[in-house]
Amino acid sequence: MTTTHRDGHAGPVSGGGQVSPAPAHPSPDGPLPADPQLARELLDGLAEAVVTTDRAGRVTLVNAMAGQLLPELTPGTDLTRGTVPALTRAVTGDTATFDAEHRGRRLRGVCRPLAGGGCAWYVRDVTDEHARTDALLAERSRTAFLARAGSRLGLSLHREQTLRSAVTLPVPYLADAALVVHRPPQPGEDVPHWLRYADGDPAPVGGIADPELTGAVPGLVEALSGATTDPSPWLDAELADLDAVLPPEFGRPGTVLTSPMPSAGGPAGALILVRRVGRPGFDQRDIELAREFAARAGSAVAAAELYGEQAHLARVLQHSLLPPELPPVPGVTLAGGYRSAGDSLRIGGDFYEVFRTATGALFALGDVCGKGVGAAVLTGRVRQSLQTLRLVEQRPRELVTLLNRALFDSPDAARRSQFTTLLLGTTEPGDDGGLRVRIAGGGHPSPLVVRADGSIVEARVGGMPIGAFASATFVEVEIRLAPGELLLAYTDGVTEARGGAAAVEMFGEQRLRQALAAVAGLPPAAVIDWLLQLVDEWLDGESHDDIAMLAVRAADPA
Amino acid sequence: MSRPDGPTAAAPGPPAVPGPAVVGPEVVAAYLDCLDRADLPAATRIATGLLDAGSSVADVLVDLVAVTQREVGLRWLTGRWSVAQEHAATHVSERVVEAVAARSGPTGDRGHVVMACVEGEWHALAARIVVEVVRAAGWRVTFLGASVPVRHLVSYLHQTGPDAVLLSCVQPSRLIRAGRMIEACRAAGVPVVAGGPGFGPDGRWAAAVGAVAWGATARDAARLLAGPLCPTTPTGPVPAAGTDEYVAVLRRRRDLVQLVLREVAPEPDRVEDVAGAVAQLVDALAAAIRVGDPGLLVEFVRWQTEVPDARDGSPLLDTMLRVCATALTEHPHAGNYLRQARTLLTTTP
Repeated sequence: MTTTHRDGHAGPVSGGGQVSPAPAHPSPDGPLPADPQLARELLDGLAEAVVTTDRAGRVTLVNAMAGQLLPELTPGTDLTRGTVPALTRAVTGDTATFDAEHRGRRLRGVCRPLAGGGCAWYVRDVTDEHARTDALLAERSRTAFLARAGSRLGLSLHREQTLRSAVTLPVPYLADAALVVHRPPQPGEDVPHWLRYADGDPAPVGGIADPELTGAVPGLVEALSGATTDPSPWLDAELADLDAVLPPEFGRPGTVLTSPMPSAGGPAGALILVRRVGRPGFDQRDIELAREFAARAGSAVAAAELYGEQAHLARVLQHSLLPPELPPVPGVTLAGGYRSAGDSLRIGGDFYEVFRTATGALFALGDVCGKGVGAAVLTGRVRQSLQTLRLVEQRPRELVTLLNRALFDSPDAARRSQFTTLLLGTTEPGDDGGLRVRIAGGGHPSPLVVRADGSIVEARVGGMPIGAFASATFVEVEIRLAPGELLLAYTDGVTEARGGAAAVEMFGEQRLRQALAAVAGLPPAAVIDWLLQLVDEWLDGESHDDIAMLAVRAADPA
Repeated sequence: MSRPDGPTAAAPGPPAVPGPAVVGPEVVAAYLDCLDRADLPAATRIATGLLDAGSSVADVLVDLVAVTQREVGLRWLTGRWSVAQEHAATHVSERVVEAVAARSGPTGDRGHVVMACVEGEWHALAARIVVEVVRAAGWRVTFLGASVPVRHLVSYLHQTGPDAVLLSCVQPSRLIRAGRMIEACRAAGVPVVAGGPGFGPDGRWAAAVGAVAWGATARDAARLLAGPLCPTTPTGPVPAAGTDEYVAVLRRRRDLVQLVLREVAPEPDRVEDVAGAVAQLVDALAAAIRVGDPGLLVEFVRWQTEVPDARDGSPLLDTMLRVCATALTEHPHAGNYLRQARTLLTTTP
């Protein structure tokens, strides 16, 4: 017998307990020749073993095949006496069938009562059939395991998650505990780490691998360096100490199998499978399966590592392009809102920025033409330039003019033919306790002002887009905000959001004014939230352009 | 101002988990009074005062802020407060949550969870409360904010590999979107714990859309996370819905909106409201079919009849249901569910 049952997968083996149906067509009642010699020859020619017993359960007759399969039985043997354990169990348990191993062969027997009392046992040798079925089932369960492993390993692009899958999947099917020893991709971290999952653990456990560990597990150093590609099992006699990485109650490991986790970029780590003492060791098929699994886990970890690097790069770049946290400015309450056209990167061609000045705030809100990463990079440049230029110039109109020159002069400006619309303003305390806001514009939608009485007025700014013409002209307006009054600057992504009943109508300035009027007097953060919500509901899942809003409110009198 | 008597005072939702009753009704009343006046400093003083007196973050946020917020919602629903008042009050509570959060200690290391509101859901206060309570229970929590787009969530999951996602859904009509988000999370190998009344009474629809667990309150979220979610948690494909009829219904959403508008012919200033109401109804119908429970649609319709500023009231609802039923005759579930909802309308005065 080479096949084994694992993991409770044994199931019903090829209908093992089935009773062969009674002959459907009883033999015709023709006369039989009363010839003992003929009867004997016929019996001995059968491929089935035949054993008959009397009422007392004593063997009365065995045929030739019974002599081969059940040599213990001779006429006179008492079946209940245990010479053939399987038969004894069947007889004493009063079952009419048995299916068991005997003398290294798989036997299946069925009992039929005889007319004259006693009964006849028909026993078949099903060793080969059984082996084939077993092999088929084992193969099926291996395929199922690999399929399950493949889909689980393919789920996540996150390295830790993938490693967690890699240690949980083999337990308990392949081993009682699984351990992955891996090198984290962070530069400078050359110490291997380990992650373990053992049968009964609530979740995988990890740690930093002791130098002793790598020395202690045979084959681990080779597996980690990629020197060997064939996993090989080790028996406990050759084993060193794994106590440090196994749960305390796990006990002494029985057998250990170390497999490298290869990937296109070199070894992603090593998979160590541990079986308890009582469990059979790894046979050749287990080893092949472990290798196959480790290979899949290796590529999954490598893919996650690669994704992690790319994502990290993207995140670092993206971070400088995300909307900024607004600084606290005395006398002014500010809030910004942002929605990019693309959902996953959250960056785009709209932006806002607020700096603190000696007298209040310097704020900007703009829209570079285009969307996505390309536009976002340009917003980065605009914001960077603004950050620098504000150190030498803080009057809005002069600052916009400077910014226009800076952007127009940049080497590839003409080739890109990209321009930016912009509102740029400063606040300073007004005489009446409110704010004096000066705004310069560059071709941007005019901001709206929510007055104390709840009315909404437009603050016309005008001006030409920046970065497009060398001799562009800009204008500046001054607005006074009484305490509690609010100025809203927004990009055309708000008013041009298409949605509504037919999904083609624009949100429009009128709706924006109505929405603002409904929340007049609320803090800027609540106003922005409300507007974003309304636009989102208006869009109702339709795609949209980048959206940015910045609300500036004169603080209430203390 | 004290809490009003009568049925509206009874907070909807499942009974609170029993615990030491630290926050009494008089404190709730005082806090509500602060919200009524949009008095942030006073509201903050009440909350931080409770912390000083030994209340836990969960006590303050669940038994005070969340309980009061239900009353705020009721006042808006019953028309006692305007949208602006409701927003101002909610804003105060959000700042109070921030103030409570600012006083909590360093983040623990039980694991990393991500909190998100279903796409289209903008009421983030309940989610913020969950974030702080779970954080106080020792988890590292990332709050992705209100109305999280699916793609944003997925890319975040792949980048950070959290142990679980907490997903808030308040309105059952958003269950289809919630289901898509859960599907995406499971596909990324991350289990989802659902929260909020959008998943049905006692969270009965949470499993149908693929969530591994459901909690009614922030305390439940913390408790569920402490249980065994990983690694045996099922991830991968969501169990298939019994029928994919909801897809066909959703595909006809705009079409149905136009049909109802043609039938009702509302005043120009009401067109958007009616269109929005129809769209929501279709969403609720699709969600009901998705989870195989006509009760979702019936409850939605009942709720609609109770909204006071639905000027056209039941006749409009009935027209909506009738037009949809006529247009969706080839879809047996839709027809059946809509019929049940109409029966409700005719039997309630």
